[in-house]
Amino acid sequence: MEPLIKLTNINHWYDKGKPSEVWALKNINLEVEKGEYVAFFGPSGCGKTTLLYAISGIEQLQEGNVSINGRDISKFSRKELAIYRQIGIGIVFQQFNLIPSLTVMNNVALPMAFLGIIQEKREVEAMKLLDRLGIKDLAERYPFELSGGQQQRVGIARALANNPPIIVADEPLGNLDSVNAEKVLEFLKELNEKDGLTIIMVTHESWSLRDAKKIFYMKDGEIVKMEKSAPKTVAESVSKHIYKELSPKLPASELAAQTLSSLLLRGYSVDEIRRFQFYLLQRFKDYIDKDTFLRVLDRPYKDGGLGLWKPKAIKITDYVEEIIEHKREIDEIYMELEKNPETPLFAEIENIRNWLLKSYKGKISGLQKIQFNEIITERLRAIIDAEQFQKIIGLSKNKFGIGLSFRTAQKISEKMETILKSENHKLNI
Amino acid sequence: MPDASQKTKILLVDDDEMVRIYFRDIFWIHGMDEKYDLNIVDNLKKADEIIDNPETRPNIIFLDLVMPMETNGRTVISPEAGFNLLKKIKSDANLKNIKVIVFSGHTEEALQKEAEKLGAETYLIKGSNLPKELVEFVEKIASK
Repeated sequence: MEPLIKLTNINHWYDKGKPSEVWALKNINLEVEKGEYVAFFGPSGCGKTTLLYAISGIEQLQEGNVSINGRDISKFSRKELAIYRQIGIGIVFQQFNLIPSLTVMNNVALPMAFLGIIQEKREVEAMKLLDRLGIKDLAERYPFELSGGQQQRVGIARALANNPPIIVADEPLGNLDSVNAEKVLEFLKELNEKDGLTIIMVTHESWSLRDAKKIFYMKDGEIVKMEKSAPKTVAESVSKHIYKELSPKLPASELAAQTLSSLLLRGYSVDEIRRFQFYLLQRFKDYIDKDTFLRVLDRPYKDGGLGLWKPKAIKITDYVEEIIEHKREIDEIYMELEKNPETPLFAEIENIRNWLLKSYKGKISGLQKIQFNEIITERLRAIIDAEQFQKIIGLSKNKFGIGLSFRTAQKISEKMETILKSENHKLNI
Repeated sequence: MPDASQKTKILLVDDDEMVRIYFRDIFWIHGMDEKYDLNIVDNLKKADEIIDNPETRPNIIFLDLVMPMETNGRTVISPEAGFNLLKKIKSDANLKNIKVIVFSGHTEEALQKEAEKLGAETYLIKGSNLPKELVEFVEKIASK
């Protein structure tokens, strides 16, 4: 039988012919059967997302073929390709990619609107999907009023809107805490087992592989191994240590730095994770001491550091020191982090914003909340100082501020500084 | 089929990836790529480059309003991002004939009035207008 998806001799480069050339995908050959649940697993920047975008018809490849039901999509007319993208594939993103100015209902109904389905019908269908995801009550809310977990469920509902046979999920758990990540995994499993949908997930977190029936291990743009069924339990996956399998010849310290960096910096960009990995390795090799490591984590990104907020930098430094001091095994640490993952950046900022605004009695619009998230991020990363933070909150909206009163801005800014000065990572919410 | 140089040039400026994907797909599904040359960018800098170059300058722009923009060394998310581009187009003799359609998810009347005041052809709400209406609108405006 013809596989649903077949990739043949795929090669793809970024900036081909320039000094910055990157060989993003190397000689990829693979097949996905109808109704399979497959995963692409590997560290950040290994080419997983490029591959996913190629399968989705978003990224045009430079070499090789992507066939869907035996037809090469590079030979699709533009119209066929657009129809394939709209009804053949549903995409779930790490960053949710919801449109902030649209309600939950309209976000979910948007793919139907773009297909020309009339409003009444799309609202009925969107409501059914929201009901299935357990978020019917949130239909009239805006994305900024939802938690990360709720936003991702809206993202899944939207991906299902045009009833596609294939769901692709690009690091769908990367911005979720462990409880919400678990819910998303359960739902993907249900879509596969009950609805018969083909699921293709990209992930760098091995615990999320448990339901996948086929796993492609990726490294530096290549598929280095394919495994037909997922490890049965987390313990088993850890005992095999998937990262170790990806890089069998890598020295222990390099392996530990590579494995831990993406787990400790959940929700951060590929570049930030890479920079962190570099400094973590320097620390593991004892090329830099504890204080230097902490300073680097705390230093603004533009000055070569990571720009983490102080309590997080302290927490990570302490954790790393504990690993070094007790010569803890990477498998053990990995298992611990899988059971209790680091709070993703998105959730941290959301928590801080809610805490800062807890005693504020006025109404905050959607745009103001988005702006708040921006300036909290900038303050945490030391891009702006306390004075600028306060000023932006107090500036009028037409001067790109948030438009709160001077007194409120002062109070919020003071609260923000207590977080930054605190040595305690947990907020007293 | 007219070659690219003869086609009416349309530019979509939108920082939202989903909208960029949907918009292009609407064009392709309705066969509009035969008559129109669609360019899509995700930020104002790239939009400026395309608009400033007479070779690539569009005839019609679909412009998102609330996008990131640089001001005083900071990146802010503001409707001024879209409005600033609209102001620039309408105040430049070489650009003012570009027809600008504001394409936003924000329904606030104040934004719609401001867009109208600054010379936008119209203000379309994302997700409210069906593709058929979008296509008809482009046809209408291109033939003006």
